[in-house]
Amino acid sequence: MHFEGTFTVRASSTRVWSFFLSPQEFSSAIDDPHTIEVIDADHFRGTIKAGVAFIRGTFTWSATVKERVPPERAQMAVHGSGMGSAFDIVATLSVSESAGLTTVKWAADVQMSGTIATTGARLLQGTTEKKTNAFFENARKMLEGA
Amino acid sequence: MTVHGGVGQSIKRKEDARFVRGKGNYVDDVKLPGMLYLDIVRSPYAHARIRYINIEKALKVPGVLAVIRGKDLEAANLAWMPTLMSDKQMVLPVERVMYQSQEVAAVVADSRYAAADGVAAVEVDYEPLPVVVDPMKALEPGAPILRPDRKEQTNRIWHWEVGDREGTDKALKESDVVVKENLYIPRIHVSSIETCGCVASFDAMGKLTVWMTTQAPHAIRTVFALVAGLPEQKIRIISPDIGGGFGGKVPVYPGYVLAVVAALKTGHPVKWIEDRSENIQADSFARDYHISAEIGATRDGKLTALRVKTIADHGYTDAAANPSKFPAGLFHIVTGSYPFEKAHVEVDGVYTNKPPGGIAYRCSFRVTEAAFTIERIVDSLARKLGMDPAEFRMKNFIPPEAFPFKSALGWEYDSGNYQGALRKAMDIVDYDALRKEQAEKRKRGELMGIGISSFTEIVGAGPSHTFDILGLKMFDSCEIRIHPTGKAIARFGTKSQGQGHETTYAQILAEELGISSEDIAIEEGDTDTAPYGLGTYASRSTPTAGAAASIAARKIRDKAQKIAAHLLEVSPDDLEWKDHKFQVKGVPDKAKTMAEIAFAAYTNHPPGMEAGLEAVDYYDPPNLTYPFGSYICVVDIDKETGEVKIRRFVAVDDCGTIINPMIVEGQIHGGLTMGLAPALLEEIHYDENGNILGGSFMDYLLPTAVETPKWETAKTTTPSPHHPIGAKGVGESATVGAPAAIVNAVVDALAHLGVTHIDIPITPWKVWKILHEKRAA
Repeated sequence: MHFEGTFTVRASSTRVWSFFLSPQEFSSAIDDPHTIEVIDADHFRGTIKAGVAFIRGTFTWSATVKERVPPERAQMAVHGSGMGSAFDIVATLSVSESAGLTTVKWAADVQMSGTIATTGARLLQGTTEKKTNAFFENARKMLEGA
Repeated sequence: MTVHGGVGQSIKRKEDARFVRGKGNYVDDVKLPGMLYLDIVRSPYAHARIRYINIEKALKVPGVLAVIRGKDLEAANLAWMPTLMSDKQMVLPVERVMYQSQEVAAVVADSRYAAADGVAAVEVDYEPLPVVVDPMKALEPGAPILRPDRKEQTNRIWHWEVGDREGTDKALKESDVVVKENLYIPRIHVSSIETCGCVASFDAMGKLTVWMTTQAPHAIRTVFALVAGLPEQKIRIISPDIGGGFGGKVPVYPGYVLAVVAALKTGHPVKWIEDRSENIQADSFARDYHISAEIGATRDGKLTALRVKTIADHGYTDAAANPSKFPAGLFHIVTGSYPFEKAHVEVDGVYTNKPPGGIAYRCSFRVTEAAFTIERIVDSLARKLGMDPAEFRMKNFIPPEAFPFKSALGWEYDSGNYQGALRKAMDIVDYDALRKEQAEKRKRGELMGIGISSFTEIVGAGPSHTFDILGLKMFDSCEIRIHPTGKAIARFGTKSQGQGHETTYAQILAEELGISSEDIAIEEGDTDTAPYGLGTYASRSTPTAGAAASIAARKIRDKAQKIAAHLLEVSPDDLEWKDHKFQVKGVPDKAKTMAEIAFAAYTNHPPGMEAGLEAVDYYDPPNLTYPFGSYICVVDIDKETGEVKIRRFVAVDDCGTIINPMIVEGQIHGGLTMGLAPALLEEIHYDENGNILGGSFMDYLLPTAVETPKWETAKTTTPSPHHPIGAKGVGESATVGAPAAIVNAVVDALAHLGVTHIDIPITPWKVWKILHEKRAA
């Protein structure tokens, strides 16, 4: 599945970029209950309680920052597993500032495997899209409120 | 004079007395002291390397006693096991997983819940590998080799062909008209009510007893002995009541082996029962045939030749249960009800990253695929020639006087009257009136279609000169004991999964022995007591074990005749078997019933004769049997929604001598519904990552009473000349014949729009799209 989107936020590009590269900050934009542990600047891991429809449970996940070009772009790979399922996400972020507004272009390639992809297939696209949009909307609000 | 419960009587099924009261005894009803429970960790990936399996957390889950991994089995040379097609499959993987939902590890615990918690606690780290789900891509140069363990470094498992290639090419070239169709018959799943499972237990003497959901307990015992190296007399397989098999309970699944290993490891009985998702996602699948068929005819509508090429998707291993000599099953019955002079068939089996496919799903070894192919393409050819499909079939059928008939692909059909069956179906449905109605409706823009399928089956595997599975010849058996009071018990090498063997076998014996079927107990499924047999699948029980029942009973009659002669003080030659008793020829009052003879067999048998009245027969059929039928389906299509509604479906079946008409009708009703299912509803497919889509009943659509039309059934009777009572078998006929009738009806409704074929399942969405593309909605 491929998702992408663009939004603008009233904050500097430096602030926006650092928000999305800071595990403590970006994780606060995730609605689902979760934990996060910082291993080093480029590696984090944790758990998240999530699911599709009635297939819900705890997933363990780990993330690696693949590319850092402050304050313009970044790429992160996330792998998670649990509930007889696995997911792999490669997310890219592109940030540009103009007249006090920062435009964030994001894209995510998501690969789901296992029970959640099988049983939740019909609901997967919609649920993932909904959660992704909620994450960026939360992030936007946090950045503008800060 | 008839005997109570003899052949041809619609007596109620004896076994239903327990089933309708919920008193059946299934594997999950088996509960042993100290029994543990096994649950399975399954792969989320369709193809991946296993980096590590961490079981530490799982072993700390309260109640978890053991976790079994591939490397544990490897040490005992049990990580792989043979399939019934002489391929091999993993019990548990050591390095790589090959399909989503594959078994990766097994957790043993003191409760089902603890086992499930243990499964969730096992950590497996995978490295995803390239996935191949399309068999065409699997054959392309450069495709990942999915089975590097094989000597042949290709994804082609085997190539198999039969017929006259050059002659067929020439005949097609010289034909006035040639039609070609590409047909895909998708993966489907048997989805029996009861999933698979077992209970494995070792006694103090080291004897292993496995209660398991198997259609072939004796063959399984032999496989267990070969795989595990256990002496065969120390293995007992008990197949209790089974809630539907349909071919899905023939293979040996890893769960069975794991339960045995777990019982050995823990010293406790171990139960493994699949849940519904595991059953539908990981057990063997059926069909998945990509077929290209070409058929030729003269300008005046006389068939000339048939050429069929097929790619068979077998998943990651060939775990089908076909006879050894026929890797594509009996697909070469594809010439169907027609006397082609030239025909050629070739099939390539291919590996993909899917669970094992190719099992027979109520289709007698690929006969559904064959019947669908010929009945679809014959329809297309008739349309191209501008002939009515019924008229075209009537013109081309093998005539009744041509039997026994040798087909272009080597089969010898035993008997048939195809014209009679189709004529009867046409009369019942009032075919001519329907065609008139269709023409009128078409003028009004309404969509109505009439589809015909005149199929020929091939069942009763099979003669030992040609048929074996893993070298085991495909005979079957019956052992009869008549008790002193004239009651009897008979045991068989087959295993009913709902077919009604306890009733129909008793009816055969009642007819042969003159004992009421109520007084005959039938037992199957216990390898310690029943004679060896190859089991129940492919409609083989009546043609093989049913025949064994007759022959064993006749052996008893031979002895009984001598005892009767002794009692009546006449020569055995002076007696005749008439009205189900031995009577002195011409003196009907001077007679002995089987009950009287049985008592004498234990109390007053002739000097020099052994006491008792028993017999056993291992029946090796001289030929297969060839049931047939003609089905006519009438559909109406809703132009707004694309929904196909079956208005009428007339099924005329001919399965030779009918043992119990009520049971046969039930078999046909069930089979028709199972034929409707793939035609309109069922399909298992996969996304590009190998995720199974349709892995639950939310997406895999089984027909319910709502989708099932009223079936109209009728029969003709053309006995098999070589079966002792003329029976042919009927378990799969309707499943084999129905899909083509339904698809032909839908195509017929849309033919004026230029539609020649629609791949199954024909969903409303597919029809709606066609109607919009053709601007007909």
